[in-house]
Amino acid sequence: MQSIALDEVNLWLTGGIGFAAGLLGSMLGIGGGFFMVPLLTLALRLPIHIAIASSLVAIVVTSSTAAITYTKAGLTNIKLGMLLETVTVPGAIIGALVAVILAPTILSITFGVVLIYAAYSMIASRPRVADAILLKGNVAETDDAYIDILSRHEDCQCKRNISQITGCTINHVPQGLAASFMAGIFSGLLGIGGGTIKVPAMTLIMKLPIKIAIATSSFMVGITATAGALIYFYHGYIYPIIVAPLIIGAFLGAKLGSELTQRATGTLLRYTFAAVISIIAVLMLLQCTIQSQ
Amino acid sequence: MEAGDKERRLSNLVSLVLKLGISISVVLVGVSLILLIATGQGKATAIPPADQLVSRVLRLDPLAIITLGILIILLTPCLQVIVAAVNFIINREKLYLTISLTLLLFLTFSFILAFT
Repeated sequence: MQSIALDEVNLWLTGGIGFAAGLLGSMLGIGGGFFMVPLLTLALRLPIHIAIASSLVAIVVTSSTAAITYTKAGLTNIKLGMLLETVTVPGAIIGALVAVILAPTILSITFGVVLIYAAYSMIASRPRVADAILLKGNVAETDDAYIDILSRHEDCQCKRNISQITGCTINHVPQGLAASFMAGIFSGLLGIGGGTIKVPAMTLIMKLPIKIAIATSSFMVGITATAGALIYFYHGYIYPIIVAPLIIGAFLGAKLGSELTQRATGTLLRYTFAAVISIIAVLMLLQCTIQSQ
Repeated sequence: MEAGDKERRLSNLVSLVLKLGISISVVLVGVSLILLIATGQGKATAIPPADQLVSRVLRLDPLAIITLGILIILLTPCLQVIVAAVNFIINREKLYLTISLTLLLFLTFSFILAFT
């Protein structure tokens, strides 16, 4: 593998990319790979395989940092996450093994297409309608709103608590497993955590409230990214001098992002997610166009 | 112990493992990165060979310590699965224990592949 000199790497820019990815990723229940990989290839001109490998390691940091907050708040469905990961991890291993033999252009085009689909999925989703209940003058018509109200009125005599919402009945598990397997493949293939597929799958197919889906996805993404990262590790695509500033930036961004998420509404998160990844999709496809000329 | 208490205990344990793993690795990586910049090493290559890693860490080679930090990051999710598995053993939840062990099998396969 090529050597990369210390003075060839813009450490502040790399750290900044990690910070932005960590911030946005933790707020949206994704690892941030959809931001990191394009920015590492566009801004730092890194070969895409090195960008993917670096992204996967940083994703473990962003998702785990976010998962600390969500898990402690009781929003993570750990059992569901573990179940879905039994298919996501093999998918990630397969995806990574395929990626190391694919041409960079094909990876970039695949990246752009998956992003467009994920953006559409989030806009098209509808919040799950729960039993309406009067809580200190607030009427919660959806589980998302219910969670928001519960987080502001911890002492209210509520019909259900957060752990009951987190452990609510899950629908369409086989379909959720299939979607998770695909998420794993794309994770290993593209250097993403798979949350952009997992979160819509959990909200649209399995009918989870979005905050539970985001929290559970954050728990899962670290495990998925680890499996893929180890394949790239074996092939020598991980460079400590690139990964190190990315990790530091991602950690700081994720810390801030997970705190800000507690104050954001489910609807705002969903539309922010769709808007941001639409922009990234355009960037990636433009990159392919430029490279092909 | 009620079901809600069991879930809460598992959540707290997993959260603690994540916090420790990520904190230790980020500190190692951060300090080593500063050392690397300060010593101004010429060519920073890819990951040091596995057979040299321990000796280079003991010699406080910044690149080797960053690599150790990266390995701890990759091990942390595995530890969270182990903690969950132990919790399922204690609570006699055979289904989820089976699920956890299956997951660990896949992750172990990845680690073996990475280091062969």
